[in-house]
Amino acid sequence: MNDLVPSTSPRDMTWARRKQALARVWRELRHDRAGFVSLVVLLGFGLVALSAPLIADRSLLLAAAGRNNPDLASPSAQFLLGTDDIGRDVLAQLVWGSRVSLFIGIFATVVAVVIGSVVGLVAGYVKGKVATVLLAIDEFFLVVPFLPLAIVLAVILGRSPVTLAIVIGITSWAGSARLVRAQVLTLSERAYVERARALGAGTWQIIFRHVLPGVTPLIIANATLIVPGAILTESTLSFLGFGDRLSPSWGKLLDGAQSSGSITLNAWWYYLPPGLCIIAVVLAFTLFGRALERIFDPRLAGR
Amino acid sequence: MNKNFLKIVVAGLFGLTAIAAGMSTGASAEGELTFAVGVTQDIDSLNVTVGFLVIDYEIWNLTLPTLTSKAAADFSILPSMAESWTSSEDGLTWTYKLRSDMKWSDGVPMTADDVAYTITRSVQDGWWNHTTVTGNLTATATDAQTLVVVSSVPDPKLPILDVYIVPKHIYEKISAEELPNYLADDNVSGGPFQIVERKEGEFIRLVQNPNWFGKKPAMDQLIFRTFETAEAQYNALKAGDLDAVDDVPGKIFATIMAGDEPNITGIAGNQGSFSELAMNSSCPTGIGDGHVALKDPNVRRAINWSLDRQLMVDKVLNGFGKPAVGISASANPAFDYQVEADQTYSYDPAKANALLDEAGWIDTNGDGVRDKDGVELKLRYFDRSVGGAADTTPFITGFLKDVGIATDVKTFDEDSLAAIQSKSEFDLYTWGWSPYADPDNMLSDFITAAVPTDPAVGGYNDGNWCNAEYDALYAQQHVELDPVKRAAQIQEMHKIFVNDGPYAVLYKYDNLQAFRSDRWQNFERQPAEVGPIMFTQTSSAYLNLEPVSGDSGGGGGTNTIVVIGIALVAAGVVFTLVRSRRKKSADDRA
Repeated sequence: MNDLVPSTSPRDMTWARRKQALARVWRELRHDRAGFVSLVVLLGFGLVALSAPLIADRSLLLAAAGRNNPDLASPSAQFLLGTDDIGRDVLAQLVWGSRVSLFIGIFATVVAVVIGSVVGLVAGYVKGKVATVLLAIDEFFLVVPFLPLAIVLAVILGRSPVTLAIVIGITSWAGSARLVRAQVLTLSERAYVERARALGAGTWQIIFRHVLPGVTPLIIANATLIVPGAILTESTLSFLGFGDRLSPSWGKLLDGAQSSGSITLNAWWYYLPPGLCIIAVVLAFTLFGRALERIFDPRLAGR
Repeated sequence: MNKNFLKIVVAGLFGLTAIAAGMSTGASAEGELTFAVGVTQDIDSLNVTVGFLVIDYEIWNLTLPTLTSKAAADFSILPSMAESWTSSEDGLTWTYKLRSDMKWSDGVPMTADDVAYTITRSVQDGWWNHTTVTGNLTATATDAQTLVVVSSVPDPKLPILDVYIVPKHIYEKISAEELPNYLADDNVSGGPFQIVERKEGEFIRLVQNPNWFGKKPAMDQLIFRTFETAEAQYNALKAGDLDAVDDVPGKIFATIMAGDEPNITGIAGNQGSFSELAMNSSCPTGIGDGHVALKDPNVRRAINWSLDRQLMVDKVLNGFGKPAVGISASANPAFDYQVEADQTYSYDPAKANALLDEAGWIDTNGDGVRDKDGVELKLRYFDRSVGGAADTTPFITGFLKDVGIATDVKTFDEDSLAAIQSKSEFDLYTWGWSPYADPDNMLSDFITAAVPTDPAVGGYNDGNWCNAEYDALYAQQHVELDPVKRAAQIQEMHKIFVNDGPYAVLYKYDNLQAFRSDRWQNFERQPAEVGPIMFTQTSSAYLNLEPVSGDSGGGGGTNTIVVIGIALVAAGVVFTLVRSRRKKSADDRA
């Protein structure tokens, strides 16, 4: 509290308040065991993804890289996680695959959250015809079977990691739009919004200066809950053969393992590691998102 | 939401187990002898005038008669509808004597009139599966058992006349405009089997045709079931739900060949099937938007030099095939290009680089991709999502990158790819072919007349390539009655095609098939010794298969995956129990 005293300008005060809020989040997160452990797991995966070039050379991913290696070799000192069906190091693909999977998971979430927040904010605050149309679109995306839609879009838009992320983002924003809208509806009835309106603030200024900060914690918590869905979707699409065949994502690894018959051949080192990585990351993101929700909305804590 | 994700994960795991364990068998009546085949390709069309997939041909082989047949061993001519045939002095007129006891499955007599009608109509309407054989023929039925065929030119494909004969009484009701959309659901058969039931994407069920005039099969019923993956299909075979499968994953096939499965016999059969990388050569009479670089034969040669075919045979085919540079014109290897792959395009990236440099494609801006006059050597690569060449894509793109050719890969299913080919709007794409017994049909795919000029009609020349010399040789062999001379002309065509052609042929691959040898015996290979059992030129193996005596059909074998699945679930339960108990005791202490 003491460092708050010398601050004089409004900007300094805002920053100090944010710092303080962050510190509170951090403090509570440290005491939330599941949240803290999942954060550590996520940071671990993030570190691996970032340091992929240090762990395994990119050239190991090339199809011809397994030229002189045995196919489906079990783990050994040379290949810690064995080799795949064309003799490539599974570990190298797993490490580089974390990049693709995490990138798609996070980028898709950004797409989904941006669309979802904008639609939610506008539909919640503006009301009227615009809101009706936006909600109708939202409902469409809520009810349309998600996987077939994603497959169709993936086929039309192409299969690079970026387009896949956009496809997944487009198909998974509807839920967060609803969530944001609900929160906006309650916030816009609050006195401080009323006051801003009375002082002559425009619609957009109220939405972005006054309402948005109020829903930000919700958006962040919601985002961490969208990431695992996006990662699973990428894996599903890749596993079904609709992914990018040339990028080594975890789903692609599972697809390769399945199509080469490694499950029948008991080559567990080929399909188990990517499967476990997917489960670990998905679980960690989910638990972390839950923890954030609890912190941002203490009413949930007791449940 | 937490719970939902766990549910998805668990559902996914169970889904995998279910796929691996295989699905239940299709409908089959009690006491009937059923032969169930697993396939990974679904029927494109049962209409003999438009279908083109291998599975379509298999069904036609089983349900449509042919004038003569071919020996399984070496494709020499055998009687079928025709019992005997004689030729005129000049070799242009052939007179066939037909059997008198033939009927279609619906009881309508099958006569020389059906054959004459098929030949005449196919020429009139231009049926693409027929015209390479019938294009130069006129046929008349002088009576119910006599057929006179006159060829306008000497024709080496006679007297075999290798086309499916359709029932006149059905087809004459369908106009030329309606025919391409006809679903061929009349189920009228003139072959050993007749179709009784079909569910698109699931299965097709055939039973014996009681009116079939040839050898009766031992099986009462024949089912082809479509599977999503070759592994699921193999596990269904292993579990006893299937009697045979076509397309076994190479790694698993190797374990069968090593003798790890006492009840299963593996056959690696070669009948000329090959995979290729087609390059859009932009024939001036054609359409499309092929990359300018591929018009230059030297660039196409460079691509041929850049590929390590042996590596792809080793890794993608697991050794079940061999590198090839020329197409297989026939299921009979005698018509292959008689120059080995390593004597023509060996793996030589240095040579590829030199050729590209010479052609003026040089990396001037240092981005690792060659360019010329401001155009980057970046090729659109259309990749087939399934089939023989699918797994070669990562290899090929790597080889091309090594010599400074960038690729933009897009993956499509077979139908979409065929539509793109009809417009010639591609640079590179992967595909594969299985040739007929007579080389004429396969060779005809690369003549100028086969270049697509109208997207709605399409054309078989999928390299959009034309070469006058090739066309001339094709015309010569088309009418050459001396087999030795014809073979020499075909070799010359191969030479032109390999040197100048629109293909980088990758390899000839074996069909990997597996059978329940504890239930069936007498597997007939076609051609003899090297060929597969099923999906052959005449599909005669089904007529010769015999049940192993004393076997009443297998039961479900134990499935390791199920066992592992149960073990995992059990381990999870135990873990949870142990954990909760520990927690409890900790609570107690506190």
